[in-house]
Amino acid sequence: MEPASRGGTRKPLKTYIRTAVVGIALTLVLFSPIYGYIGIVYAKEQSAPLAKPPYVHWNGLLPQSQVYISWESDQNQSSYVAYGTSQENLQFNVADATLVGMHTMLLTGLDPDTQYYYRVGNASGQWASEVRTFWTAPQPGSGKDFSFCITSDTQQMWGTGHYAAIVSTINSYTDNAFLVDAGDVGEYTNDQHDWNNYWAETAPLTDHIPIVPDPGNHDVGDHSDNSWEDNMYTKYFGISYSTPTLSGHFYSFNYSNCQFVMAEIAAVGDVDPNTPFNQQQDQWINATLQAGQLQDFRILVFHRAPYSSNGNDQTLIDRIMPIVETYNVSLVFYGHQHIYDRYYIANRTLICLGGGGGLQNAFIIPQAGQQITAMGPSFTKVYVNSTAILLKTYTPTFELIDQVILNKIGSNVLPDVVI
Amino acid sequence: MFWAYSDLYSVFVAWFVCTTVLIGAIWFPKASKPGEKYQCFIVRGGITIIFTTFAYFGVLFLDTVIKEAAGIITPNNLNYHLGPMILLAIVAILILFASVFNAPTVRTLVSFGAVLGVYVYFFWFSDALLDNEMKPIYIPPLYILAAVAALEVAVLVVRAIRKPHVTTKPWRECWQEMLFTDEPLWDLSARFKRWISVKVWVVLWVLFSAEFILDFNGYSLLSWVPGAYIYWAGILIVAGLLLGIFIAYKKHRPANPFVPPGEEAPTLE
Repeated sequence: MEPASRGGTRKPLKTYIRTAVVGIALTLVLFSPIYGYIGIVYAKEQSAPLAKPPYVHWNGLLPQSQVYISWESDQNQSSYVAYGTSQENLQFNVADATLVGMHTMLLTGLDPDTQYYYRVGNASGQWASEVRTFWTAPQPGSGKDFSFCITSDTQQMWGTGHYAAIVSTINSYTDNAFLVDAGDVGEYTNDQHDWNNYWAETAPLTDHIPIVPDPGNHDVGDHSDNSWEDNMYTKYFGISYSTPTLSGHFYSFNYSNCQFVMAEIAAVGDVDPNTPFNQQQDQWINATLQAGQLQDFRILVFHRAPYSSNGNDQTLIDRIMPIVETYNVSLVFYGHQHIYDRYYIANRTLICLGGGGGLQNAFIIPQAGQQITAMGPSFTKVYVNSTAILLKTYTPTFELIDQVILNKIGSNVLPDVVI
Repeated sequence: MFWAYSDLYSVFVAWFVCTTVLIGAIWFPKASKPGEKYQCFIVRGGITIIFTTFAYFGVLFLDTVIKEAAGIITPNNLNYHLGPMILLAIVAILILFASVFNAPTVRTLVSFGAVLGVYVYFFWFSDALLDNEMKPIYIPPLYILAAVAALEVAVLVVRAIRKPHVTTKPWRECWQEMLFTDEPLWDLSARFKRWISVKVWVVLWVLFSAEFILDFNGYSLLSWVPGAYIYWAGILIVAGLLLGIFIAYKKHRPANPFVPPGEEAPTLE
């Protein structure tokens, strides 16, 4: 007599194999949303073209009269920009016969507060773009009302992220003077595909508004070695400050009645106030903000977060807050933490803009001075006039997350209305 | 230390929980059928470990929903959190029911006490998890499993002392009698099998998959509904009023004047 197996009659091997194959197939199906989705977005990122349409930036320039126009071609070519104040008559041009893939041309002698049209190509007369446009900045102190959008952490890991949704919503405004990105523009410091994807997703904006970037820890390294300059951020935005003793990605500019100070507090090593670079940069920040005292408003932008609902950085607080208070900084923008937080500390408003594209934070920790915390995709629209700054923070579906008016009271800027 | 693990991360964890349940249903089909049990103590032990971990995640999801509903984040973009919060509340109730309250023994409830103890320590009184977003996923379960293992060893020792004859049996029978003969305090599995069936988990898995893909793209399952809490306050007030009117109507329904008191109304049949 054949002994009975534990489970009764023994099943044939074929049944076991069939069960195993079906089981493995179903298990793979269960994981398909992750690898399927990431596979699709990663393929999209990898297929983003190297050749990029032109974009306007003014890192380290006077945007009333100077801008850079940059673009990238997939083959080395000479550079040519035709520009003018009429779309039909691009009467000025700049050219460079050097054969390069990454083109950056400096336009100077522009009139302030003027709409320019331009087209790029090569010296052989082949155009690389349609006619595009930008506005130069109004004169400092002109008091002209303006508005801009600001976001941060637009990085797309393997191509995942919601930056495209943010761009699409920002693009519905027709009155943006420029777009500020407070760092972590890209995810990978030296990944060309990652940056190709960033430019492809930003393209709806770059045809009509300048990009005002600030580097993040995913964009640049610290100044202890050459990682601060050997990266994609430098490739696309250049080095904005360069003297024999101090070089970096920091810069400032005046726009109407507002001074913008774009500091380089990006990598971990940029926090410590005692490194030579940070000491020198702090001297520059102090001197720049001192020179900006005649402006109605001073806006300080950097990347790393002193205050956030993911935890505070006391070293950075101790370094930055004395500067903010001494030079009466109206508003501080930063990112790094992937969450939207608004703080009111020492009569100053500080905003963490982490909703630009990357996956949101895991932790929500209430902190002292915190006025509002919002998790999820967001960007902030900023309206500036001679008496107040109005900030409105939205989701990609245009839900108003936060709104605050900073009224100018004498030399101070204090929140007046908080909704 | 008051903090919350965000609903967006919890969505990913919940997706993994749903996926694990369905993988379990594929490879260990008896585990999801009432009245059927695996005899192999390794399989049963593995299932117990997984369900104990699930109980922790159930508490984590409920805690997230409660803290967010209590206002730890702004409700102004509620449309981005409503979908995850509803799904997390549902999956939390389901896994707590499936892992603890379906047919608990005294040991199950004591183990759940260990889950709650570890959870309350890490999420209400400690900041030990706050330096890495993955830590809340694996650190507390390790402590919970260690606590539950200690409890099980204590149970084994006590039973070995009280029933020494069992230890003389072959080891399979010995394990069986020592660990798997506890009677449940109650058993609701037949009554609620519709709600903890594979079909329900498949639906949840689909919804969580959709939610996390939408999250990545800057949207959510319910991001098309109004986001401001004021809309939802209005909707809840109106819904509450309608519910109140309905309950009042059911409770104080006017008596049928054609039917004498104490008798039922005749039907057409």
